[in-house]
Amino acid sequence: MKSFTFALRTTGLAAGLALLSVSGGAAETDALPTFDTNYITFSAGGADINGSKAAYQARTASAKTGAAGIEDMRFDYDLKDKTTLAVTGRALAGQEDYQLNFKLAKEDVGTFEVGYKTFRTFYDGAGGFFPIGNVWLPLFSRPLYVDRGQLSVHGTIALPKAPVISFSYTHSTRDGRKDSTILGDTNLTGIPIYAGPGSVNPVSATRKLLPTYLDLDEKNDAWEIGLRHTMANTSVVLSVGGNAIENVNVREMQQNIGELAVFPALVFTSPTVNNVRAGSPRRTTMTQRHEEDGYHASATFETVLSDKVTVFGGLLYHTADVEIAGSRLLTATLASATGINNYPGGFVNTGATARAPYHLVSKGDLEYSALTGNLGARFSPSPDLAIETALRGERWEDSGKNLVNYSSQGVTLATGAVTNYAATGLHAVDNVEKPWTPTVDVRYTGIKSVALYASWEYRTTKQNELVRYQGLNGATKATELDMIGKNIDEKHSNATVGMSWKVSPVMSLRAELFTKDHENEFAGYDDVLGRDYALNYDIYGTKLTAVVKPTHALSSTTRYVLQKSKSKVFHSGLTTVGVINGTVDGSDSSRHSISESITWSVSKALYIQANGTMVFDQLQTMYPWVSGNAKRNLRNSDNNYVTADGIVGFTIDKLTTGTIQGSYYRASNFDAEYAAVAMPLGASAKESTISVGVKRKLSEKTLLSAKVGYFDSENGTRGGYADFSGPLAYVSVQHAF
Amino acid sequence: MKLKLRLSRTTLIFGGTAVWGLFLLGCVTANRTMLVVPHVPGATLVGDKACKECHAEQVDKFANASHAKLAFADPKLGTTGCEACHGAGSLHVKAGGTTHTIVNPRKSPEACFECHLEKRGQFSLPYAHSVSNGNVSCSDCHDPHKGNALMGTGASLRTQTEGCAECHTTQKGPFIFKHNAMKEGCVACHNPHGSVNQKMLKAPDSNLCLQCHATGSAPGMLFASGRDHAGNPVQGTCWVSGCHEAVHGSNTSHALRF
Repeated sequence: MKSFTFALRTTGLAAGLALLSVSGGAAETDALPTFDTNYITFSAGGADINGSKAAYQARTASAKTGAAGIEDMRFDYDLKDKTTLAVTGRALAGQEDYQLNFKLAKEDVGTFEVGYKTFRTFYDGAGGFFPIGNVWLPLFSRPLYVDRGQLSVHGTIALPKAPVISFSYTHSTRDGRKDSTILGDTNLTGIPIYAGPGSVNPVSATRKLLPTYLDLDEKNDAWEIGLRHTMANTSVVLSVGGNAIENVNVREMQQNIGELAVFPALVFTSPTVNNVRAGSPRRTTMTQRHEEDGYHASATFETVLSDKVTVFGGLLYHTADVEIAGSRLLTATLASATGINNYPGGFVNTGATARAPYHLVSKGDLEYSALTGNLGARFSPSPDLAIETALRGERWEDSGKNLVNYSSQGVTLATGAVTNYAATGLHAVDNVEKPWTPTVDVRYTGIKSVALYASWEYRTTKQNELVRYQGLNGATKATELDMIGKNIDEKHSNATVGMSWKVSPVMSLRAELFTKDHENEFAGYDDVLGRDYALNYDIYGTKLTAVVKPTHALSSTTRYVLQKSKSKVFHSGLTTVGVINGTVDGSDSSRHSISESITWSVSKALYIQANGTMVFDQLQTMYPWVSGNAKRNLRNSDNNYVTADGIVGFTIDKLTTGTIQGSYYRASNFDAEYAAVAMPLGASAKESTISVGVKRKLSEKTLLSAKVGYFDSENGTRGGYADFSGPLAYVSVQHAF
Repeated sequence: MKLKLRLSRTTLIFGGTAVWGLFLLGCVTANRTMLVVPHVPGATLVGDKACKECHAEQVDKFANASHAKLAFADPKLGTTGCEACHGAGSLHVKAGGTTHTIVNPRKSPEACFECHLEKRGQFSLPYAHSVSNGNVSCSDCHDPHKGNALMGTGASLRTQTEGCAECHTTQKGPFIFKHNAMKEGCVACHNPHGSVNQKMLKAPDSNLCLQCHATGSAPGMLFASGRDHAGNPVQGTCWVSGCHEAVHGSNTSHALRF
């Protein structure tokens, strides 16, 4: 074995020396062709997936069916009179990734471009897993994807020595179904419930696990006409435009599916452990419609007064009318003395304090306008010093109302009697906000091999927000009116100081310190006048980067980013039981991110790149200072992870190039025992991929690429139900004409 | 079909030797430079003046861009000009501006990842904008050629949140009942470069909300905005069914429900 190891080392050493000896040198006689125009690339790829195909699609952005078609194409045509036409496109069936674009350009006249593109994003369905009982409740095996599309038309008229006129129109759509993190209730967790009368459950079986689905139907039409011109030392840009948004989004939420509370209810004798609990199925469809017609106009200028002074400024006005409508249609299935029935807005009418569910339809309108202006100057008192200072002001105003009709049915289980409740409420808002933001930027390069910079901005806002809320009273099931007036003062200061230092020919260092000091004061907070709330938080940190290039062929970049944040929350005027007025620690968070990238061109024929990032991230809020049940039910939020990837590129022969790629991801913020007392669970996953690819020149006009690989993904947060693994393969042929 | 890879000592020895042999073969039989993207094989630096011949607007505005802050007075010390991100430009100039002779960071984020290393890791996380797959580009949200690369900050005419709202039109509002966290920007709750948590959330649980809504505590109680919520983390987040579902704002509930 020793002799074999010796032979292996010797072979490796000899091979390494051979590699180095052939590096550098002559012209690239064997370079593979690259095609700039008049080419088409056909490709096909797919995977043989073991495990969750939905998770595979979501994680890899690849269709489980595989994809095939035209991956890329471009054709250029020279037409008459210095006119060219460029056609680009893509059509990958299976992936539902399509694009076709035509661009016509005439020298000294302008361009006209029209195109359409769409691509699909996959989702795997959120929620459904509870570790204690190894419960998996995906509810439905629905295809979850959203297609994003855009039709665009752009044009410019750029005649010599004349203003450049541009126009554009886009029609953007988002259509499909995706998952939501608004998870629904279930008691099917496998946790025994101590449900005796008068008892306090040591654990609650109810968890929000059931997936919710969101159907998207969004359209956005936007147009703009612009004019850009330079006269003497002044350049101006004028534009007008508008947009029309039409969004209808529907959430389908399920609660306690398959958990009908029987009638008559089971009788417990304390202490009794029982797996049945009063939770009955509810299905809710929540629809939000938002239709907006908006217009904007802007004008900006920049004037070079001298080599040392430039002034700039602009105005932007934006206004829009919005029609809003919505509904929350809830159907409860209840068992009563008259049997099992469905009740719109149904709830168990156990008495005057029973809280009626929000079963509602609404319709209203909003309008908003924003006038924004800025004015600034750039100074260069010396070649080494540049100063830019500016002031931004804005007046934002929005107002609107929404009429809501509530209805629900209270069911008395003992008799089956139904009481119908109906109420109407009018919500309204009137909001004015006036932020001012001065800014200063300074750069200095007067020290040899050093560049220094600093920036500061200070945003102050006076805001007055009046809100009318006419919601349901739990006891009377009728609407009650709250008028909420808030005066909001904001003082946000952000500052950055940094430097770039070329220490030596082989080393560069960059450092930046940043800080944010944000103070927000709300007078009249919440639904009672006289309540005050203040949120003050500070964020500070640093970014440190070191670039080392010991040789022309080897470089290393190391980057460390630290961000820490603390917040203080102040309340006064609260009347709830307990000592809850005063100042408390809101949060104390820290994030350390360490990244490394090494690139080594071992020889002309071989390169290696390795990248990695390690992140330690913790968000801490009330956990350190609450007690009893509160402390039991809360944890700090850990969001740590590690990623790594690498690539080796090499030549195989005169006609062939190879690559080997790999990646790794690990997150371990999962504590299954924590599920006994709280949800949700932190992210836990382990993934790795490896692939080997080749690219071969079949002829001067044809390239063949092929890749095979293997992936493996384990998702602990989903209890293994979203794991997947398998081989993948990809092949493409690129041909130029 | 099931394929199970095993990494045994034999696999490593023979596989490694085979791969090394392959490298060796390539070295002695082909004359071709392999470079990791985004570098352009065979190209040399030409300087920003050459770029300005055709791209005057971008070059002229770049002096005020965030990335220009790192530039040294002496360009020989290292450029943070055009070629720092687009690769050496000699072949591009020689070819009259062909696309394959220059790096276009809009089509691949590799150029950005050279300095922003941690963003490479973030975009590879399970919940991230589709930058690694090419459906979204860094330049969709950041303008490297002029002004602050964080669009919508400072004295800009538009706000940072407006950038997100170009695609996420539902979340932008306005709403009858606002969530004032929106004024801090979407990044108050989301990490747009990627997160280990669904919806690119900075935290998967109630802590996300308690940063701002912690009110106080009596023994065994957890007050948020004046009400004891000690029992709520047991069931899930603050935005689960029946609670504060409309986190971006609501038109029907001042407690932010749909």
